Amino acid sequence: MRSLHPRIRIVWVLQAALSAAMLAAIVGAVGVFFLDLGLWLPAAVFGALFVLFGVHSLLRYRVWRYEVREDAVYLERGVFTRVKTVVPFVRIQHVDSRRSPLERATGLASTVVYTAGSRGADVTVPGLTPEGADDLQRRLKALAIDAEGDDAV
Amino acid sequence: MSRLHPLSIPYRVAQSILGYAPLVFFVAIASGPALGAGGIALTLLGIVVGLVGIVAWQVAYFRRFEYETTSDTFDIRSGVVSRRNREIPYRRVQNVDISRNVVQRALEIAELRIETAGGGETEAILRYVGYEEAKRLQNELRRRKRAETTAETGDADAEPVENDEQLLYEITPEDLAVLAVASFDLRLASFLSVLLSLAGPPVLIELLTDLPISPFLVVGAVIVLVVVASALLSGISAVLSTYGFRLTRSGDELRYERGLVQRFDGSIPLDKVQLLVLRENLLKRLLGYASLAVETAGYAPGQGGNVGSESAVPIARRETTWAIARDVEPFEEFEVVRPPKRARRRYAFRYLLALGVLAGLVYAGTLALGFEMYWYAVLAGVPLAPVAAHYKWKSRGYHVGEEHVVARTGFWHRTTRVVPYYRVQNAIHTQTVLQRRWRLASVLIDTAGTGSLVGGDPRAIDLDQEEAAELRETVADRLQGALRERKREAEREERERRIDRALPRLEFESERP
Repeated sequence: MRSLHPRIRIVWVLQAALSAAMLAAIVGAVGVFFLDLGLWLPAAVFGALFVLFGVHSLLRYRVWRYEVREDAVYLERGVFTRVKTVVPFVRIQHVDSRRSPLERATGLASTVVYTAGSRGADVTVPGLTPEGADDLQRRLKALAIDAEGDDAV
Repeated sequence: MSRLHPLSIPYRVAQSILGYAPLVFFVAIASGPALGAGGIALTLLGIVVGLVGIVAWQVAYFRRFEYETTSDTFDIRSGVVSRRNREIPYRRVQNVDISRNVVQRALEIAELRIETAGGGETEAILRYVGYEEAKRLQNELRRRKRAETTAETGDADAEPVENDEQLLYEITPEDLAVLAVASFDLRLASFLSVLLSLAGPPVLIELLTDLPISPFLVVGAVIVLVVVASALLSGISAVLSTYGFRLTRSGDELRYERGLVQRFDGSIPLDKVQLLVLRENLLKRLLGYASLAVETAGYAPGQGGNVGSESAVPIARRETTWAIARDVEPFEEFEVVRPPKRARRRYAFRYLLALGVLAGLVYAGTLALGFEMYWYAVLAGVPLAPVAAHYKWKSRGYHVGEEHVVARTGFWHRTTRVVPYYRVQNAIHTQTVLQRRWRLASVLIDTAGTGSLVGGDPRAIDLDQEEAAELRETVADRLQGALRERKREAEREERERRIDRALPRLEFESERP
């Protein structure tokens, strides 16, 4: 079982700050323009949400685990609802490696695994170093080709 | 090169005139008076020009639409202005469906749809060909597809399979009556209620001020009316769409015909079956009936707004339905494994909590409105909570079979989903915060079926967490095993075919000297 790269916490906490700021801005706009309230409201909202989201991100990091097994990828994640997924290599349709601006800034990357199932795109492994992501992508690809089933659906 | 049926021209002309008529009507009404007599003349001229245009367009469409069955593809050349040539390899054809409404039946024409696995869209639509021609094409495509798939594996001269249709099931009037009753859906009733509640209040207030009857009586009567009306509606629509249902099996395909007003004629390819869905709601269970739906990859027959028509068996005696299901996917007799007893306690707590909250709300309503609303009447439901919890618990379960995994949910709408291991895409184990407190977990088995897009995945809910982890691993392991088994099977068949091909030659040579 492997955990994600510790630096993913920075990405997630920054994301938490971003969404907290966005919600605070909405609340603040409503407060200032319609209710004549001061700027303390958005500040308080931002503080509370940031703490909430930030703690969630940290917990999320602690829960996240993944493993490349002999014949499947295994993932464990989720703070409130714990989700454990087994994706057999035979079922892998294609593998992406992806980098969002925040990930690029922190030097991280994600790998996305697609299956023909209806929840295929759900399987994302974030918090890898770019080399790690490329390596995982290559390995999964090789294993998927090696494991070829008669047809993928 | 073949063409559409000539009668498709007048039919399509009539169709587009009906489509444009409302628009023309409103434009004429709106602009006629403002423009005076000249305007009316102008409008009439416009209509005539439009008519000529429509007829010309449809004639051109007919003349520019050609199709052909070549040796390995079905080709369609179409388009009046921008041309499109489409070639569909026979091997990729999944379904060929024919549908006819009343007018089309009178004219003996039909709409033919060709579906492939890729994308949610129909690959080709022929509007409209003669019914005989549609039937011929359906058979032809099926034959060529089969020839193609067997040729690929090396026995082109395999048994010529024609007219091997075997009747599996034909709906009887009793079945149809049961279907009409059992298809009653409370959801429709609630939809009608919402509509009424939007339109209702103004009318009701009008009524209530004039009538000497208690308002409760009026409301009660309205509710009864809504329920009766929706029961009638859903019953009639079910009967219309399944009248004269016939299911036959022909080689590796199920074929069905159904419908009173609109007649459908379609097929379900068995080698693409992802999962079987057996539905037995409370009414059907009490009457001893069940229905079966078969989900294939990426396509369920009758997708386009015909919800529920992917059914292989709309309704039949329980035994018949299960027998047909076993004919499609040979799964064994089974008893489902229920969730642990503590799940039942959990449901009871949940119901009690809901009742408590409801009573509290009603009580708060009483205080706020100053109008006695009998909050303690809600508490009469308390003794029912354990009973409801018991039935909820009883109706859930799963089964790990030889070659299939089965999951069952729902007391009111009991649904049993059967998935062959080699169709499993992935296994997802989930555990919410509350489930963790009870050491319970759920397992969702993902397939490439279409129903899973609308939350119809097979799921085993509220298992013991250890058991859930085991189920997750077992399903993944059995998938690997089943795939290896299939591969071995294919290799053995291939070897046998090689030997078959080699053997006659040997005999022939040994006879020669």
